[in-house]
Amino acid sequence: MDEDLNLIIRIENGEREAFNELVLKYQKPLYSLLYRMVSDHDDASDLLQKTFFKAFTGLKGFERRSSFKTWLYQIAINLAKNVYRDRSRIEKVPIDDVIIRRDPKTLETLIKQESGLRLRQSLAELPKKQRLTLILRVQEAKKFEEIAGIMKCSIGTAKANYHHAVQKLKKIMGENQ
Amino acid sequence: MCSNTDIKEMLPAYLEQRLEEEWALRVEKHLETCDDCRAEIKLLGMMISEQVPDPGEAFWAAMPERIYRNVQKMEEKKRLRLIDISSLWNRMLLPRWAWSVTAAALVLVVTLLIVKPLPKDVSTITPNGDDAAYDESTVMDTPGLTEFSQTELDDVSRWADNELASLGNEIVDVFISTPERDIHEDLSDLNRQEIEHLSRRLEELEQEG
Repeated sequence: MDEDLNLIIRIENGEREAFNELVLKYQKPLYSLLYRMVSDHDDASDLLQKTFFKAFTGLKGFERRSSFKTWLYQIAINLAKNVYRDRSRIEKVPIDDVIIRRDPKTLETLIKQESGLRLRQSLAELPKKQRLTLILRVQEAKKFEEIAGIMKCSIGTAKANYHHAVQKLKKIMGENQ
Repeated sequence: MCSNTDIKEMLPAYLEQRLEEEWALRVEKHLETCDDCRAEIKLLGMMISEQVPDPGEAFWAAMPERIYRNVQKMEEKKRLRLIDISSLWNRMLLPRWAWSVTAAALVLVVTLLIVKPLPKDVSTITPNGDDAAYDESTVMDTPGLTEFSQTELDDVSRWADNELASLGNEIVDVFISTPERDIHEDLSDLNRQEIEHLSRRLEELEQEG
């Protein structure tokens, strides 16, 4: 039997240990996805709790047509969509305000930080579905089959979203340079 | 722009060194000649290197307990709500006899309102043996004479005269046709009202001469 299903059955029988096991298994990858979507620790933490809360209180509604992992990710994404941050609100820190230490690595760090900021801003300009597909594929290392399950679309659509997202991101990054 | 979607789809896995050797070599060979894919892999590399800040071990350790408490609170609320509904339902069901009585009363009221009572059949009423019962069952309340107009009173008077005349004739016929009959027998056949009526009529006849 699927390991997750086994844990679910044990949870339904009241086993506290199974409950902890399931949370510990998925809390880090879910938090990572949520953080990438909302870019804020407090929001990501709140969403993480809500995701598990909704999953455990709605276990009877889990029809087992997909895996528990896919179902959990669907809940997380749906909740995160309501708290979707507008990337344009990310403030740019003027370089003059940063204390530059006499360290050769400082400039490199700054460049990296600047690149990271530019990347995040460019990602924010992508349509939601494309951005999500890109995050799931590149940063969460999900296969297209999993992405299709989570986003409730076909594998072809997931792939198309991915390709369009990459092309658009390249274009936006080029424009933001 | 490169149209080799198979290679493009493998780039993230290549970056994370999750590809089988054969496929990794194919990607590397493609990258040697494709500018578009090289730019893409650089971009993807930036995304992968974007680390999510780790909130710390204390955060991870506390999460299961936090979630469990919230779930327990919700379960408790649900249980209390069910108890409230259940007790309310029981309160509604408790006076079952009251519901039965109410239903019966309603049926009775509806019956009385919808179904008109049947008129009394006089022929089925058995008198008690004395004339009082008969009188009570047939005598109607005398309407007040002030309720009638003069024309109506004249009509009643004419009607009464006709009735009395016919009655008088009957009486005479009785005496003529049955001479052997004892008058007392005949009189005993009359009821009190008839006797009184006869008495009045005889007085009138005497007065007339």
